[in-house]
Amino acid sequence: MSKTPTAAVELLDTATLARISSMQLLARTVVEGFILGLHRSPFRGFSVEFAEYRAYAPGDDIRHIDWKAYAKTDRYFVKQFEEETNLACHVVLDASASMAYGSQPLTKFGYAARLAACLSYFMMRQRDAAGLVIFDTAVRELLPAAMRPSHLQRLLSTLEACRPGGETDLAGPLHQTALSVRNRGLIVLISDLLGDIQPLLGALQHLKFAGHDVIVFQVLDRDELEFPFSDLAEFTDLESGRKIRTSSRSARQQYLRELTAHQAAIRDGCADLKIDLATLDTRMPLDIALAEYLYRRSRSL
Amino acid sequence: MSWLNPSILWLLALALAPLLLHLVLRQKVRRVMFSAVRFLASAGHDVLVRRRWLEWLLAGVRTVCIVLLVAGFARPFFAGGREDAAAVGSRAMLVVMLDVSRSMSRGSVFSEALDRAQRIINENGADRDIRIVTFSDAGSVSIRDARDAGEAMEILRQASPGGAGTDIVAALTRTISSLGAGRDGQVHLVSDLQATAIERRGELPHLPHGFSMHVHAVGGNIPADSLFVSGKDAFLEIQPGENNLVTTVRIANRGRAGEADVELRLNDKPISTRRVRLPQNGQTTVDLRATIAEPGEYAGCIIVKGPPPLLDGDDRFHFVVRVVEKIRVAVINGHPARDPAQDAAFYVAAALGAGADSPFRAETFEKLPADPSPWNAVVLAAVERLPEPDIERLARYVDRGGGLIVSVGPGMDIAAFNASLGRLLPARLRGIAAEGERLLVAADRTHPLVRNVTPGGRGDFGREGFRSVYELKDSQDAHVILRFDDGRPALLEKTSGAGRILMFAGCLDRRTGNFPLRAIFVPFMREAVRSLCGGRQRSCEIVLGAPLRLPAGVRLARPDGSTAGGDAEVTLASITQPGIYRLISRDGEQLHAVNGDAAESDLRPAVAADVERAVSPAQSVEIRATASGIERVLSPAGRQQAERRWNIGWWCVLAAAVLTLAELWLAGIVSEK
Repeated sequence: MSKTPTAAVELLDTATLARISSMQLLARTVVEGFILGLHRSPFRGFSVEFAEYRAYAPGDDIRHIDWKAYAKTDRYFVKQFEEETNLACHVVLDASASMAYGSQPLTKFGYAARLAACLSYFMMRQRDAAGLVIFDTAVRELLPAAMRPSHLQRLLSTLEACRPGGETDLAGPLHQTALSVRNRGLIVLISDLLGDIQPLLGALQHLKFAGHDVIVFQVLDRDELEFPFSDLAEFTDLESGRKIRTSSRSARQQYLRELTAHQAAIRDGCADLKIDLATLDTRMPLDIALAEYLYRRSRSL
Repeated sequence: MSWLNPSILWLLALALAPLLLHLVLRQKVRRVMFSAVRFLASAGHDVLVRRRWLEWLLAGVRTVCIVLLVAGFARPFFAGGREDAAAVGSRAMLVVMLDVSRSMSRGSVFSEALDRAQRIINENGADRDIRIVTFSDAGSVSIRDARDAGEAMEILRQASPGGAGTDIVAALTRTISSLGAGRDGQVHLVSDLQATAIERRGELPHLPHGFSMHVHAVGGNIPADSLFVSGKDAFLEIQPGENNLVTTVRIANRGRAGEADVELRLNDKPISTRRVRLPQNGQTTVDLRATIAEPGEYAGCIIVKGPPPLLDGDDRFHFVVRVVEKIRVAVINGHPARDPAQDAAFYVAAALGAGADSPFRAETFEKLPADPSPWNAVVLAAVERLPEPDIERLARYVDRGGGLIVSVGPGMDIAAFNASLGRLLPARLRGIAAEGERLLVAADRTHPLVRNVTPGGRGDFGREGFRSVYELKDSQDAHVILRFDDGRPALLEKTSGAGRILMFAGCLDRRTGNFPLRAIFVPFMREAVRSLCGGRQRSCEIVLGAPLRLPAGVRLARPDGSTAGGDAEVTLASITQPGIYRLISRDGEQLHAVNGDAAESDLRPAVAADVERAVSPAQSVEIRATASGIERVLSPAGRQQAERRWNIGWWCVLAAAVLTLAELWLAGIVSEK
């Protein structure tokens, strides 16, 4: 029984994830498998702490009866677990048009939305309050952090219904988030970060100043990372509609040079702000993002 | 522009292939919706534009490459030559080539040729520049321009057949090269048109465009049977003895087989006669022997009494035989040694006495004989000093006409040598030159020694090495015949009274080199002795058909008894008669045997039309009737000639090769973009 979810996780590559249309099913599949995998990980026992035994009372879930204690004492005892902290986590998801690009089965936005769903589900399962912010040039959706199961349903439905579009303005929505989310907590930004760097870093600094811990997941497509085009091409910007006609072969070197400089600037800026940055390729499994989140959360506790 | 090989010009259609491929396979612009266009902003449109231009350029280069290759192999040429273009405005030429070789002297052939030449001028000379070319062999081509027909006739009247052979190819080559570019006209060749004057003489040249060739063969009736006698040596030097004269002649018979008497004559006296069989159209060799007891020069002649000769002198071979006593040479050995390698006298005596028929008799002494007069020459081989009475005797010996050769040896006492022999010699010893390999070179190529040792004076002594030689001094009055290659005198000559002295500054043994072992050592020693003892020296060479320069004081007596020359130098235009010529000077009389060229007596004629066709540019031009009139076009041969002149095809292929390299370079650039 225990091997099935693990095996499922191992098989859940991005192509498989792309075929799962229900966010809830997807989130549960990924997260359950991930947690089972944690038994072999350094994070074992972290999420749900054992507190004490208590005598069984009718109405208690019989799944929590400790049968070993019953064998020794001939009495029913129920294992009681310590409640988690009430950490408020907000997933801030970029839904600009540039996130609609995808050369793989999943677009960047599809990948980011699934990641957001998994993170939200995972947070709720950890008894953390999960919130969601969706933005492009401005905040489109803002679901404050809550721990209710119904809230998770709403959050996942929102993600499922969301479609990317519009230009990117990273800084504005983040400033707005910093102002909107008053309780200090964890902000998880999921974006391709294809925008101006200085305003972005300013906004991140604002979040840090507001007392939030920030994790940034930069989601990029393989094409964006490798620029594999070799023909004459007319490139049209997904957001601005700007067109550039060039020979891909000669432009590739220039492109990679610019991209490397952009990434370096983001990396250095985040390092200065003590913000964790993880660049995710849409071909990578979601576990990596989850592990990153867990690692970050353990540090913030 | 025309094409020698136009059938492949359809391949020019291939030139469209690169353009079509470029259009068909041209890379379409792919439209990509992309999220990170912001990073492409600096790789703007100019790259794309440049690439488009480069692609067109590449297609163009490929097209031109194919065009050039096809054009190259189609072998293009310009139909109208430079000559044609330049011919406009120039007067036409009339060139008359008259054969004045020995074969033209037969019967009335030359007068027939003159008549034909004059008729040509009369018929074609009006309004043309006239050029008269008289020719025989390669060295006898005379080209003269005449102002008018009268002067041309005068030039022709002065011409007469000489004694030289015929080389029509050389004459045509010289004549055609003198025509230059930019003219047109006619070339008339008047000759008996011997086949031997064309065969194996090289390729007949082509007349330039605008000229026409006309060949007039004269002397048509050639007797069926004829013969010609030739021999190996026209000069023999022998010693008195039994059957000492052996002469060999070859008789070429052109005609039926038969028999002939071969007679040997000396000084016009019959000596012996042999009957020989002559093969049909073949040749036979005959040896004739005689005994001549008395020294002297004899005029020899071998006469074949058979069919009448076609040309005067074809039935006889003239030669000169000189009978001389053996030249006695006393070799004084100044450094006797058991090892012959250190004994110069050994090598000198061996070189002079080698062979039973050697004209020398060398005798070796350790001291000068009391009376050296019986010897024609004395050789002092590595002699360091002589007693004073011997020096006195040697001086008297030389003054009376004796010859003296002195060679040095390594390690001699220079002071003693100079004190003893110095006053007798052309130079004194200064010392031993720095050691080093030295070679002999001729300083006076006209000296009989050099001329006879190195045939024609063109050879050299370059392989003879000397490690150690003596430097000389006081040699101002001496004549230097040979030098070492560092410039030091090697062999000097001095006249003393009626005799002469030769001094050699190197060693004649093997202590300082291997000169005695070299092949040139024997002729060197023999000619050195011969030059001292009044050996055979020709004041001039006599060649049939060639001009002859007679030095002042030399008279020439011809075979027919007439004479030329005298106190002043004179040049004879041509030697025309075979026979024995006598050169008479104060020093005496020399006999010279002159014989004709074997090829000249072969009168088989070539076909005039063949010669015309081979030479005439008319072969390169065809006249065609077209609807618009007569059209002058190049024939295949003319086209090839024109193509060879321009060589455009090869230039095209070369240009294609260069463009191929450019294409590779361009393709590399395009693929990088």
